[in-house]
Amino acid sequence: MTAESNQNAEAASQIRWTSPGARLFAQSTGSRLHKRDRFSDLTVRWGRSQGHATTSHSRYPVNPLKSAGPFQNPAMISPFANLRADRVPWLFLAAAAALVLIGLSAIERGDELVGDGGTAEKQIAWVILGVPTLIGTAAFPYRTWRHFAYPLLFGTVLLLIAVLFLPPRNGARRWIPLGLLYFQPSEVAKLAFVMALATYLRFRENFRTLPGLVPPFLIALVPMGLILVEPDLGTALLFLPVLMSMLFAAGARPRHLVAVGLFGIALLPALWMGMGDYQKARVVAVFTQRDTGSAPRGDGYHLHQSKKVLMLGGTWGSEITGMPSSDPLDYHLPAGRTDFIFCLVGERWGLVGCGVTLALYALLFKCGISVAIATKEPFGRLVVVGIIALVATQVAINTAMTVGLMPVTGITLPLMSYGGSSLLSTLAALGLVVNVSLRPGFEVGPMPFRFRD
Amino acid sequence: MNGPHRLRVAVTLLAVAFAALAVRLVQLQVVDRQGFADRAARQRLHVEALPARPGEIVDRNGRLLAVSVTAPSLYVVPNAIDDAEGFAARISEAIGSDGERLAADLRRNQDKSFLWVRRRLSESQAEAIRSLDLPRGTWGFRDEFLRHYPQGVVAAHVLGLRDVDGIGRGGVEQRYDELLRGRAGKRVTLRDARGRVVDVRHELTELPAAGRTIVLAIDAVVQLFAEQELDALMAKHAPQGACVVVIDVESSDLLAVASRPTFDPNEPSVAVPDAWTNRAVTAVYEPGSTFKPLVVAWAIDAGVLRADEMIDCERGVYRVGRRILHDHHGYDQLSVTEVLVKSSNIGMAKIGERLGVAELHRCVTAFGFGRLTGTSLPGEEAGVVRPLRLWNDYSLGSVPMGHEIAVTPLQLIAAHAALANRGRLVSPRLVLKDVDADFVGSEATNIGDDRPPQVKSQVTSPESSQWVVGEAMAEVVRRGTGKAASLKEFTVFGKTGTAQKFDVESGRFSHDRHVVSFIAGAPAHHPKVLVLVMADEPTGPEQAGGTVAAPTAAAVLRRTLLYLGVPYDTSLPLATRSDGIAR
Repeated sequence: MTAESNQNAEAASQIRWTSPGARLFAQSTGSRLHKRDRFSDLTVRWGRSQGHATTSHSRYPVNPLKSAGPFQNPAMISPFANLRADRVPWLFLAAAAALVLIGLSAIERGDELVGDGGTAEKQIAWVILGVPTLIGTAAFPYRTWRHFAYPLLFGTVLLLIAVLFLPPRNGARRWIPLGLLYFQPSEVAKLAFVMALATYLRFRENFRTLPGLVPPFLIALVPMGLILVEPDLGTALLFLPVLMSMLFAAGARPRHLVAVGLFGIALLPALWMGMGDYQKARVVAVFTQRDTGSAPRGDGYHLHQSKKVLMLGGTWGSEITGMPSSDPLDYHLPAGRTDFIFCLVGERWGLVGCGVTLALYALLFKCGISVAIATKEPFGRLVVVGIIALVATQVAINTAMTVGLMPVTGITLPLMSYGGSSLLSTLAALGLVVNVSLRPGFEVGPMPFRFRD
Repeated sequence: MNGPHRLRVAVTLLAVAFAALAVRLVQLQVVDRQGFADRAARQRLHVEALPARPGEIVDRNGRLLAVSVTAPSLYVVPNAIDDAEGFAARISEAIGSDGERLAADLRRNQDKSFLWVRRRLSESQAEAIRSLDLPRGTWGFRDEFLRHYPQGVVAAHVLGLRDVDGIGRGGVEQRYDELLRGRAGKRVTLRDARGRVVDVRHELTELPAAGRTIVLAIDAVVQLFAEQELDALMAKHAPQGACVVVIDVESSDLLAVASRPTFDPNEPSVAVPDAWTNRAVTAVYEPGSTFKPLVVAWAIDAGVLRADEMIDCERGVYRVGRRILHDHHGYDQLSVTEVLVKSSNIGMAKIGERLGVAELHRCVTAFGFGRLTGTSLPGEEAGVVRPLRLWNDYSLGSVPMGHEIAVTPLQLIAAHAALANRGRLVSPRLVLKDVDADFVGSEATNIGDDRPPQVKSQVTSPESSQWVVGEAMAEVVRRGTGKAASLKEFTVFGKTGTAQKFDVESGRFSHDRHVVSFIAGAPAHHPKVLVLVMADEPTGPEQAGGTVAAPTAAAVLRRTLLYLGVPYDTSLPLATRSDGIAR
C-alpha cells in the first residue's frame, strides 16, 4: 500500500471508530478532522472508503442523499444542533457591524447638516430589527432553501409583473404599498435569482458550452427585463456582474464569458437608445464633469455636490479638522443619507474614514470568499459567491458614482445607506453567508466545479 | 484547484476597483481640496468697488466743460436665465437694441453671472426695463457715472473724453486721468451662499475719494468764438483741417484751442476717424513767413541789423550759395519794416547771411522750436529742427523765411507771444490748477506729477521785440499782406504765412497744396491777445494766408478783445462804432 492509502485507512478507521450518531453529525456538518483537512481531497476519499464508488472516476458516483439512508437527510437535523462558535465567521460579522456603525455615524452627520434629526434613530431601529433577520437566515440550514429557490424566483417574477400595474411613485413603478411601508420586489428578486441560479448550476457542466449558457442567462434576464421596465436601471444592471461571477465560479469557460461580455458591449448603443433622457444626462455628466469650479445647473449638479462634500471632508474629516466652509449650499447634497451616504462618511471622517470603510468592505468580501472557498457543497458555494458579488457590485457602483467614476444611479450602499429594506435585505443575504459558513459540509461526491481550465 | 483559483481572480478584480476608488478619493479629498477651500473662503467675503466720482473740468471762470452724472446701467445674470431668446427679446424691445445679438451674448456667456447689457441708460429706458417685471435675480441696475460735456463740441480736443469704462482718452481727460479719476473705495461685505449681504465689514471699508476738478486756462467764451469762426472758415475754404489758438500774451494762458474736423465728446461713436487729431499740437508744418518777425527781432538783438537800415533786395533775384531766390515782386532797397510788410524772401535771406547758421540755430531753439511746449497734451509733437551740424549755406536762405524747420501751431504762437510779451517767453499754460469739490486748491504749477514748471526766459530784448511787433508787424496789417486782418477798434499786428506742402509722391514741394496761417495780435502797443489761424490745404481760388486765415484771425481777435473789455486803441468816428460799445 502506498503512503496515501495508509492515510486513507487511518482516516477511515477513525471514522469507523465513531458512533453512527457521530458519523451522521460529521456528515451533516463536517467534523474537526474534516475541517482541518478541508483543502485536501478527504471528502471524496471518505466517500470512497465507504465503498460506494471505490474505483469509478465518474463525476456523480453516488447520490449521497439517497444512498446514505433516511438519517442523512439534513432537513431532519435540528437547525441548532450544529451551532459551533468556531464556525461562526466572526471577522465577517465584525466587519459588517463596523460598517453599520460607520453608516450610522454618517447618517447622524447628515441629520446635523440638514437639520432635521431623527433619521439616525430610525436607522438604529432598523438595525435592531436586522439582527434577528440575520440570525434567522443564518439559522435554518441553507440546503433546505434550495427547494424553494425556483418557486421563490417564480413568485418574485409575478410580483415584478404586478408592480407594473400599480400607480407609479416618483415616475417609477418599483414599489408595492403594504400599509406602513413600501415593499420593493426587486430587493427579493436579487436574492431569489442568486439562489435559483445556484440551484440550477450546482451539479451541471453543460454551461461549459455556449448553448448551455442560455438557461442561466434566461434566469437572469427575465427579472432583469422586468426591473428595467419599472424602470430601475441600476438594480437591473446588478444582475449581470452577479451572473458572470457565479458562472465564472462554477467553471464556465472564460472565453465564453469574454465573448458574452463583448456581445453585451456591442449591445450598449441599443441600451443607450433605450435609455430615458434623465439617464442619458447622467451618463453625459460623468464625461463632462469638472472637479472644481462653480456648481453646474441641471444634471451635473448632483455629482458636483457629491464631490464637493467629499472635498469638504479633506484628509481627516470635519470631526477632527472642522468645517472649512460655513456656506450651507456647499453642503447641500440631495439623497445624502441614502444613496450618497459615502460622501457623508468622507465629510465626517475624511479620507481616513473612506479608506477604513473600503478596507472593511474588502475584509467583508475576503471573508465571504474564504467561506466560498472553504465550502465544498456546490449550492452553498455558489450562493455565497452570488451574494458577495451582489454586495460587492453595489458597493463598487455606489462609491464609484459618488466620486464621479460612474453615472449616478439609484443604488444604495449596502449596510450603510439609510433605509430599512436595503439594510434588512443585505443583512438577510449576509445571514445566508453565515449560514453556509456554519455548515461547510461535505458532499459525498466529487469536488464541485473542478475543470482543467 | 480550479474553483478557489477563480475566486482569487475575483478578489484581484475587486482589489483593482478599490484601488481606483482610493486614488480618486485621494485626488478629491487631498489634492483638489486646498483650492476649493481657498475659493470657499473668498466667496464669503465679497469686495465691492465703490467707484469714485470723476472730477470735473471747468474753464478759467468755472464754467463746466465736463461733468459726471449718475446713470443706471443694466446688467443681467446669464446663468440664471433659462429662456435666453425671450429674455433678450423683451429687454431689447424696451431699450431698442438688437435682440438677436443680445441673445447670442447671453448664450455665449451662459455660465457667467454678470454681463453688461447697456451702460448708462436714460431714465425713460430704465423705467421701461423696470416695468418689464423680469424675474428677480436675473437682472439689475448699477449706478455708474456718465460723463457729460455740457458745451458739446466746444473744446472737444482739449478735453478729450472719458470712455464707457471711465478711462480718459485724449486731451486733458487722458493727461490728468489720475487726478480726475480719484481713488475708488471698496466695501467688504460678508455674503451668504445666495449672495445676500449678511454683514458689512466697516473696518475694512475704504471710502472713495472723488476726483479733483481741473481748472483750465481755456475761456469757454473765447473758445466758442474760435469754434464758430473756425466753422465759418471750414465752410468757406473747405481745407483738410484747420485750427485756431488764442493765447493771452502776458501769462501765456491758452484761451482757446480749437481744431477741425472735430467731434462731439457726448457722441464719440459718430465721429469721423480724422476728428480725434488735435491739429494745434500735432500738425507739424513749415511755418513760412510767420517765422520772419522772430528772426528780425533776433538779428536786431544780435547787432547785425538796425531797425532803420535799408536792405538791398536785388530786384527780386538773389543767389544764396547754390540756390537762387525769388521774390513775388522785385524790390530795390527796402527798410526792415518793408521786408516784413512785403514779406521779401531775399531780404530775409540777407539777414540770415548776416546771422550765420550758429546764430540762426540759436534763434530757432531759443524761441522754443524743436521741443515740447509744456502743455503735455497727449499726442503733442516737438516739431522738426535739424541739428546744427546739418545746417549749411542753404539754411541761411531758407530758415529765415520759415522753411527747413517744422513747427506746431502751438509752438509758433508761443514764440510770437514771447515777441509780443516784450521778448519774454513763457511756456503756454493749458491748466491753471486742480481743486477739490469746493474749489479749494493750490495754484498748482506742479499740477499732476511730471508737469515741468512754467519756463520763463527773456528771448529777445524788450526794445527790439516791441519795435517788431508794434511797428513792423502792425505795418504788415495796416498796409501789407495782412490787410484783411485790420480792425477798426484795435491796432492789429500780424504776419501771414503760406508754405508749400511737401508732396511725398513726387518728392518735392507742391505748388498747389499749401498750409496757410496767420498770426494776429492786438493792441499793437500793448498786446493782450494773440490769435493763430492755420488751415491745411484750403481749396478754392484763395490759397494765401492773408486771404484765407487773416479774416478768421481778425474776427476771433476782435470778438475776444471786446469780450475781455480791452479798450480801443484807435480813435474811431462814433458812427463806425459797433457791437454794443455805443449802445
